Amino acid sequence: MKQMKKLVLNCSEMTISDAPEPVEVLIPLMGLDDKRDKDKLKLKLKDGTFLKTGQPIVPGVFSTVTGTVKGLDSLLLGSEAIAAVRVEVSGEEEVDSGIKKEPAYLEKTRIDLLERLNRANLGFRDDLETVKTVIVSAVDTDPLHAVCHQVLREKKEVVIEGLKLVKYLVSAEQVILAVPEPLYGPLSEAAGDTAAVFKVNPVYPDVLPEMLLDSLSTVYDVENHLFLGVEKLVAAVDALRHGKPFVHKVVSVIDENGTRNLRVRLGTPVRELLKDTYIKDGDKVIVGGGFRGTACFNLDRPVTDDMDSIYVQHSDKGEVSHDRNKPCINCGKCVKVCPVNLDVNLICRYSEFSIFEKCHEMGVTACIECGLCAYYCPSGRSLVQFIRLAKREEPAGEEEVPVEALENGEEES
Amino acid sequence: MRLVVSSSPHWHVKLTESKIHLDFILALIPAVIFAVFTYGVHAARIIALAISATVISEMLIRKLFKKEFTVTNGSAFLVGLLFALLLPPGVPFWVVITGSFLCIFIGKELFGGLGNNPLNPVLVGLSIIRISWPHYFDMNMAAVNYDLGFNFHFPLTMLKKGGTEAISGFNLWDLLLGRQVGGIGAAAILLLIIGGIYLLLRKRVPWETPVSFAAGVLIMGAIFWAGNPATYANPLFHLFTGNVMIGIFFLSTDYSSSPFRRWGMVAFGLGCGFLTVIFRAWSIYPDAVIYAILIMNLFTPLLDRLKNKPKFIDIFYVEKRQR
Repeated sequence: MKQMKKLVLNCSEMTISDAPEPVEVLIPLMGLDDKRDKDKLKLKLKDGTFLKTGQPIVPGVFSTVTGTVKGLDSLLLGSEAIAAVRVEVSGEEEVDSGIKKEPAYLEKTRIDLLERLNRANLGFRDDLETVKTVIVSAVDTDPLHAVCHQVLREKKEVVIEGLKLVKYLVSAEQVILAVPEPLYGPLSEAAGDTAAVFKVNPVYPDVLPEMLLDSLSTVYDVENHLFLGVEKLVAAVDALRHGKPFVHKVVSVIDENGTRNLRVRLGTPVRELLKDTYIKDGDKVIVGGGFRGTACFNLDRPVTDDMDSIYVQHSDKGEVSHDRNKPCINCGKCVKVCPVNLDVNLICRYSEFSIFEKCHEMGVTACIECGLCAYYCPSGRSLVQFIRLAKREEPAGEEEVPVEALENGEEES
Repeated sequence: MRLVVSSSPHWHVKLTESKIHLDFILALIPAVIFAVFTYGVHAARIIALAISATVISEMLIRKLFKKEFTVTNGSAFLVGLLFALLLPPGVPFWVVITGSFLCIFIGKELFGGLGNNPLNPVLVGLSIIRISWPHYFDMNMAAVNYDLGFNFHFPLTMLKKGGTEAISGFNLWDLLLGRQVGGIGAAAILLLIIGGIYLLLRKRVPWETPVSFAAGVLIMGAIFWAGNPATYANPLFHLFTGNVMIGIFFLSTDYSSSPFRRWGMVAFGLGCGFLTVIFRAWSIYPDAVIYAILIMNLFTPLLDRLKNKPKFIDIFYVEKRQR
């Protein structure tokens, strides 16, 4: 994979193929602590418990395969350790989604449909009444990702249907579909009156949700909005119309063999998708893109619904970059590329010497951690790390922030 | 199997300080060739002496201060080269060596090395030398041993002494082509412009500083010229003589001693331009570009605080799990 010079997203056609079915999946039990809840879980999820596809395991989490429980595990997602359950796939797939097939679902009442979606783990926010604008984003958030626009391309009709569904469910004044520029023409025709189609320049960092919201706010009123990904929309339509649970996710896999789009079962370990890739000591496996993604500790990391890509950097090709952390030479490159117009060089020097009050005075909390400053820094400084540090250090004299808020502060994708 | 784990971002443009400095050095190569062609071995001697002196003194100082070995990043080389190009021909070797050492020691290493210098290191060394041994910097005296077939008077001294009458012998085209007395490389106006354009195209220097510097020279020059055309030269004459061109592209754009924000750069460049012409008109020095830039360097921390309102993006609610 070559280094991108211009940071333009690749919006050309990239066919989605089905990944082979996994042998074993690891299902993260969102919201359940690794240590605290393990004993309770052990009683409930004994080894050998049979699970059907779509069957709830704990509230809010359901099994993505049909198989038997093979034990409990723990998983590091972002900065939190959560409990996870290992399920061995066995035999024929039995679906127990709890939702009926209903081709004419739009005749049902709103409450009924929302309940069904909640059952399928595709629920929206609770305070839907206050939502005025729904933003459906079909824009990939990293130059590596080729997921959203391909889903949009292959399932245009379903997306349009989904827009209608959302309009019915949320009763928002405005539904906006954000698409990358190359897809704008056909989409604006197809969408018609259902939704306003918004053209997004497919260049990083304009494609980040925060930047997208910012550019939308110049045209529309985006206060009280609901932000939806296009894949979730398609899954919602599939669930209501065909009774399918949300178990598949499209992932771009980027390695020495190039880029390929795979439709993967949620919970599949990354290992199974990288069977053909030669990974050795010193390589880096990144999930969620090169700019904002997280590097994996091992290949057991399961595919989760917020993960758009798996990217392997090979050390022997010089793809793994290391921060050199030389002194800042004040070249001003970071300031020039910063999408939120921060004095990155000054903030990072203050942060380096633990003068966090100054960082907050300069508005360090506005940083969206796009990573462009560190990408361009000729001194190879760990600018984003310095900023993260400064963000977490509250300025003296202010109220102490509860631990929970600190933990949830990081938006790791 | 052990995987590498680190925090995002996971990419880097692979641009390093050494590559940046290499670009600066490449941009100066035409001027170096010009210097060697014009003044022959004298110029080559100064350039070689200055560069080896800066590189060796940085190595020694780093060793003495027990600091990281950084001479490979090319900054010392660039400082030596720029310093040499600003010197007149025929400067004794000990002046070159002392000056180079002062550039590195007082200009850079005392403050902590590359990136921490509040002033342009080249100008620090040069101004100390110039004040200490002013007779070596009398450009007319320096050029007395050469005869290269063009007007061998330093245009700015002529202007200072005799007003516009005295500089009627210089035409702008000759000045632009470097047919004038001055620093061995600083006189090659056209070649410096070419080097500067190369740097601008490679985005190694911002365009704001050079453009506003030139604008400052032209504006202030025009004001003086309009006021008294008999005493003060026309603005283009100011632009094409002395150290202005090397100052515009290579000295005022030193990263750590110049502002990093657009309006700061513009103010910085305009200030340099204004001060250059004011010093030429009213100070005892015929050409004081280096002092103009040094003074503006001192304003850099202030100018960095101009207009830096972060754009707060109201993230009203971005669902944590979007899909």
